Amino acid sequence: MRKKQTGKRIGKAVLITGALALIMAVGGASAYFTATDNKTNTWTVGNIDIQLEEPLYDDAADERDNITPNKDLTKDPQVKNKGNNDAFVFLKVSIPKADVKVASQDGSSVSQGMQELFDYTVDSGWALVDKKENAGSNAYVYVYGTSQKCAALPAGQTTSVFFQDGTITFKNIVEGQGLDGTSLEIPVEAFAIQTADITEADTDVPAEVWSVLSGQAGADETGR
Amino acid sequence: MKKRIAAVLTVMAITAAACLTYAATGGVKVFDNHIRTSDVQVQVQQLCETSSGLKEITDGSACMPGETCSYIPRVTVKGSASYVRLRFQAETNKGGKPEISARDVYGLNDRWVLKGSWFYCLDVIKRGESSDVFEGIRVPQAGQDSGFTGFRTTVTADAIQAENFTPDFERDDPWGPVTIQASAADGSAVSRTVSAADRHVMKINRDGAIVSDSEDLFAGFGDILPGDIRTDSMTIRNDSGKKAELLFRTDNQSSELLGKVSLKLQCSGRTVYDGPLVSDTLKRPVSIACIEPGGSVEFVYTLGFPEDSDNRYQDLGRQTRWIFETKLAGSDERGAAVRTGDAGWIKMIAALALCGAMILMLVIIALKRGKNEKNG
Repeated sequence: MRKKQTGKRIGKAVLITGALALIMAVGGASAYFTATDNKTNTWTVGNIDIQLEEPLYDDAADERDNITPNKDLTKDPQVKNKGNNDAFVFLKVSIPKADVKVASQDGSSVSQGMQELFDYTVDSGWALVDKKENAGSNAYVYVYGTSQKCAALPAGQTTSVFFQDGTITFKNIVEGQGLDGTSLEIPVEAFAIQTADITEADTDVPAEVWSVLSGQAGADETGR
Repeated sequence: MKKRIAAVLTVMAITAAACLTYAATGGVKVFDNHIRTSDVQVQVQQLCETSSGLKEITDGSACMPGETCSYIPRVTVKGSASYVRLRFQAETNKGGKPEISARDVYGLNDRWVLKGSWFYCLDVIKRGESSDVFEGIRVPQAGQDSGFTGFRTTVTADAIQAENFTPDFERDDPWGPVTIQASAADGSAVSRTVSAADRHVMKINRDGAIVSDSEDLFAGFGDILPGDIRTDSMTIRNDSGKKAELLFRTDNQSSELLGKVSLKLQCSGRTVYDGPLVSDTLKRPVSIACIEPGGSVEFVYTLGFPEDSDNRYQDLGRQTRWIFETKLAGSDERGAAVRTGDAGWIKMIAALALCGAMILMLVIIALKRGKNEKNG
């Protein structure tokens, strides 16, 4: 009999506790005035990938054997942007030089001295940024753009050919100066860097961009 | 004969008294009180810094792996002052690899703190004010062959009214278990300017008429928010020269908002009503005070808007009509007989005309009977 009473009390206590818990749960929910808004955006993760091309150069291998003075040679370097992002593009071109005698086109005069062995004209789409004189060559850095502003090369696009008309000319060098049988090289290297966030000021001035690019290991570089 | 004359005079006296009593009642004053709820609205934008300033980010914007990327979520409070939180989520195109999370943001604004997956603004952001949450994100390194070519960012901004709500920034969940709903405001609301409320005064004049300069007793309340309690008062002065009983009733259209608001009425400290603003009890005149000649009472009214009111009640405006009537001493007809728009003077003239006609009829009857008796 006593046990039954105890059991009844416990049952009531459980019921009351349950009711209280329910009341607290309901009473705890506050509403207030609220608002919500959201925005979604998709991003492209970029990469800088360039290819230095000379589309006609490889097919003109024969013309480079046993070159003679005043000979025009095919040299058509250009840069293709294979990445996802616009890029600023630079070319580093080394022109070989030597202490030689060079005759004028009509042969009437001869100049003697350390001079470049090729004549060429750089396409107007490129501008000189830097020049270094080395022992056997002059190294030039050109930007795709103007001397004041880099031109952004869009993804998938290709620059103009660096040498006007895609040719250079072997100078009218007087024979017998030790060049016979030697191999001459015109190395070309291409560099590229993203167009945005290069510096805090987001510069596009060629000298400033080249300063960053030349000191940065991560810049995409390709050479021929 | 003497008896008849006495009867006539008695009828005349009673009628005259009735007329005079009626003439002394009939004061009524109607207030159309406007109640309006405020709104909560928030807007989030995604901006980035460029050489020409900040601009909205467009789909397909590019960023480089391993580098920082300008990405500025800006929240603007368009409604009433609010607390705001923001969640940044990113989903990469390669099954979540590499991951980008809230920990990859940089330049976090000092006003904001990261708690769990939400950035919480520690201050209240006022109506029309904006706050930039952070400056950008660090894009993870990924090899050229990783296939990591894009990702999607989503920012969600939640706002909750600052008034009557107190976040606890010591907790991991500073806002607690609140339910965030989309704003119900359509953006057309203009915040009501609250003028410095003139003191409300209502006078019972010598002729029993009630006058007051106020037309809206809620004019000083402004827009209300859940949890708000607004109190104001009105001095009611009896200049009638007689003891006056003051009756109060309401005339409301059915309204979900008005049904949600609570009302407490007090006269000189005595609670005369405590219940919903819309109630059958208040449809009939309720006696709220008896004011001695030259005396006054302070009528205090308090509105309560419960904090469990959700966005259904946002940005609403409703009107509640309050009607005060008087019954001066000696009157056996309650002011309740007077309804809004009644022209008291018309009834008074009609009553006087009726009295005059009755007196005239009684006099004629008396004279006629007297003449007949004389002739008889």
